[in-house]
Amino acid sequence: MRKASGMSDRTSQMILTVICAVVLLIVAYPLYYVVVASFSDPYQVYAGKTFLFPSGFTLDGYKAVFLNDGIVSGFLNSVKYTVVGTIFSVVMLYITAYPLAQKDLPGRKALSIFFLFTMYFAGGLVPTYLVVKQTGLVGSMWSLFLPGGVGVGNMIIVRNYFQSSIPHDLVEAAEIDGCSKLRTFFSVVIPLSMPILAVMVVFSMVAYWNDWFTALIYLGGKNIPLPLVMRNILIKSSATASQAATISGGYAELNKLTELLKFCSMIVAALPMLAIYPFVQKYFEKGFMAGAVKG
Amino acid sequence: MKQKIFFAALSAALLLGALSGCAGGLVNNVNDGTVNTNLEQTEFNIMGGISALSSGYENNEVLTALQERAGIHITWETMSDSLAEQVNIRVTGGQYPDAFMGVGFSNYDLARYGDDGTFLDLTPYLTPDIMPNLCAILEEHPEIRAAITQEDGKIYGLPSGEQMTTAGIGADMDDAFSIFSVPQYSMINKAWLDDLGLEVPTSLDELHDALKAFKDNDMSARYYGNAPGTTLPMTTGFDEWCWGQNIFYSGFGFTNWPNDVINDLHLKSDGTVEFVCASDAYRDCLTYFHDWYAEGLMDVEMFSQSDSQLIAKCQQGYVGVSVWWYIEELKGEYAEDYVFLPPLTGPKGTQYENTRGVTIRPGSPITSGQLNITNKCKSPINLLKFYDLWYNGETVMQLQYGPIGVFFTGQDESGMWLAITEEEAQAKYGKSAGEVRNAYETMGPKLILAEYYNEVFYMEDRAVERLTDLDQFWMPYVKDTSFYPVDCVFTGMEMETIDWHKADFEAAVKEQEGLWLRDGGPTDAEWQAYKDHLSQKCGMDDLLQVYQDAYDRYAAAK
Repeated sequence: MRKASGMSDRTSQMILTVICAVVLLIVAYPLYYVVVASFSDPYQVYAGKTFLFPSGFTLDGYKAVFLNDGIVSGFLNSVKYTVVGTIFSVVMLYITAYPLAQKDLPGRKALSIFFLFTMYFAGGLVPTYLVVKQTGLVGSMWSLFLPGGVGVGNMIIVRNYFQSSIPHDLVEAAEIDGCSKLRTFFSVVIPLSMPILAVMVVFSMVAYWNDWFTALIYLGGKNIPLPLVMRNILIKSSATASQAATISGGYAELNKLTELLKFCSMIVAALPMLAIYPFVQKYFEKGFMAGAVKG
Repeated sequence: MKQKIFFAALSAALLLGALSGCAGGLVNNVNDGTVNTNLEQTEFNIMGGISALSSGYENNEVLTALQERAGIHITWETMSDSLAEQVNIRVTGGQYPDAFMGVGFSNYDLARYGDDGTFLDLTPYLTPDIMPNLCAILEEHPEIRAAITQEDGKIYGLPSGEQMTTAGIGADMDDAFSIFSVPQYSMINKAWLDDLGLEVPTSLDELHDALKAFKDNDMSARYYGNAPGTTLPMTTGFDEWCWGQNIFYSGFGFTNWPNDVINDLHLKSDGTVEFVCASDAYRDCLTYFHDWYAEGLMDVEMFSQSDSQLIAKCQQGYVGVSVWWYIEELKGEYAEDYVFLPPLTGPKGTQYENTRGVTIRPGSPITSGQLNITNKCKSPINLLKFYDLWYNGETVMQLQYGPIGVFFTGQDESGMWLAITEEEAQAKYGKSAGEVRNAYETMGPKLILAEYYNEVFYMEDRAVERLTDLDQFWMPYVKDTSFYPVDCVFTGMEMETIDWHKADFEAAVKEQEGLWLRDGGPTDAEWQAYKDHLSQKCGMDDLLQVYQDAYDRYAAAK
């Protein structure tokens, strides 16, 4: 009997392993494919010749990316915007979510509705631009953070976390021991909310790292972040078929580089995030579940 | 209560502030037909498009020299991407420059911005004193003036256009055809035909048999040694500009070019306008080609593939028949094996047996959306004098290709300018001639007249090659050379109608065309339902009326 159950354990283990392996393959192969394609002749890729290894090996795409003057400044800009933006956003989240989590806050309901309202209604692109323009932020990096400084969705997650996962008794105990409100916040609440802090850091980080549209609207010249630099490299290399009539190099050749660059820029833009992710991942699972499920 | 009153007052104040702010942006409405004689302003701000490959306008020696001659200085604000969004934002916010250059405003935009006073009416400025060069051209080419004049008689922008026609390779000026006349050149693998002992098809039936033979014999594997089963008898895009399937429809008396005006609009030689997509020939055509699709002769990916995928397949030698702007570019190292496949006649035993009808396309239109002066400009005369210098063969040549001394190396005995050769460009600048040109090309009101190719500079080799093919091979197959003129001028109401229906109409036609090709032609009931849908939901009758009216006015003015 005992042996049989051991067998079935092992069998189910095996089945699970197989299922996981299949899922892993399904998820990982497309990513791997992009890596391979970034080293391959794009016309061979599109003709279905590339499977596990690069076909028509080439480094032209990466050459075009790394020989671009803007790539270093774009990378530094992106790092700057991501770091400053993440710190700013997380601070804003905490100082809005914590008060809203306090049941004795006067006007709590009205304030909540005030925040919630912005999730459903926005000003639209042109009015927002006008506001940013009139506040003199166009061209400054603060135009990336200030207009959308508090992510309301994230704020609600954090607020729920404060309400559900930090026992009110604990806060009271701290106060009885002589803590001021601020001291409680810094010495009790923040250390206890590390998991959700990590989640919010990752959310903001990824959002700021990937954001190109805001920068496209408000920034220009030397201030543009990496995704915009990538986009410019891509646009530079691309031509429409109707332009082909007058391009003496030929459309097919020009287009080849464009297609190759699509893969290369994906890799270059995603690598830094991929490198950071493992370090915050352990907080990530825990915090994400904690904030969301117990809402 | 006090609080509520305070907030109400505050929001009222804010609202008023916002409203008066809007009104403040539109005070200089000067479209009253008089000339603003102010000559003080010599520093101008211009915003506009730039080729992504350009090295910028600040250091462009051609532009700098022109500014010096006109005695003005321009601060450029250019972008190669998302221009339309930026321009919209700026105009809405009232933060726009003295002029827009190279934006490509549509006639609809022009009418809108003209009516609200944002753009100046340039009609009073088009005098030999202010714009001698342009006026001379307009004098000689009244059709250019007609094309840029709005229905109400106003002109909101300077003309631009590139008349690349067969006149540049020696055809008669009045009888010349644009390089865009037949955008789709169909081609067939002659080596495969020879191997199978077949002739180049002249009818759809013959092509059908040839495609079947390509497929049955797996020619890609047999002749080029590719993997078994890779043969694609025929692959094209779906309703694409230079790589669509449309050229094959000629056997049914039309080719429904995806048109700039609207899909499928067709001008018959008697001067009446019709939509091909509601004609019986169109129905028969789709019914016929569904059989090809069902037999696997047409590529199943034709509806979804991009041009990159098409090139990829062709350059691997998988393809028997395809369509592109040139053979060499699409076929790469296999190019030698391909020959042009002429427009084919319709299927035997039907009323289309001897039909071969290619609908030709008009050339690029003369537009007035490339240079538009706004009401922020204090001295339009100074700016217009600068732009008048553009209306000269040698100047526009340099704006299009690059300066004399860089891109143009000298003149031959007939006084024509010679472009830099590929070898010279590599030796002198270390880049291709195309790259040299790209660095200098300026977007703006460039009017390149057909005669410049005979008097000022030579057309590029590739264009000459394509025009020669057009003239020698393709045009002889075209019997009816009427096409809907792109220069037709619409009234404001008409533009509203087109703008309202265009997207729906095109989407409905395209979707249904694809479905019938894939799933089989329409039954009588389906066909009726489709036509009803077009006229009731997509405004087909209104559109037809609009296009007919505009054409009638155009024809009457000629």
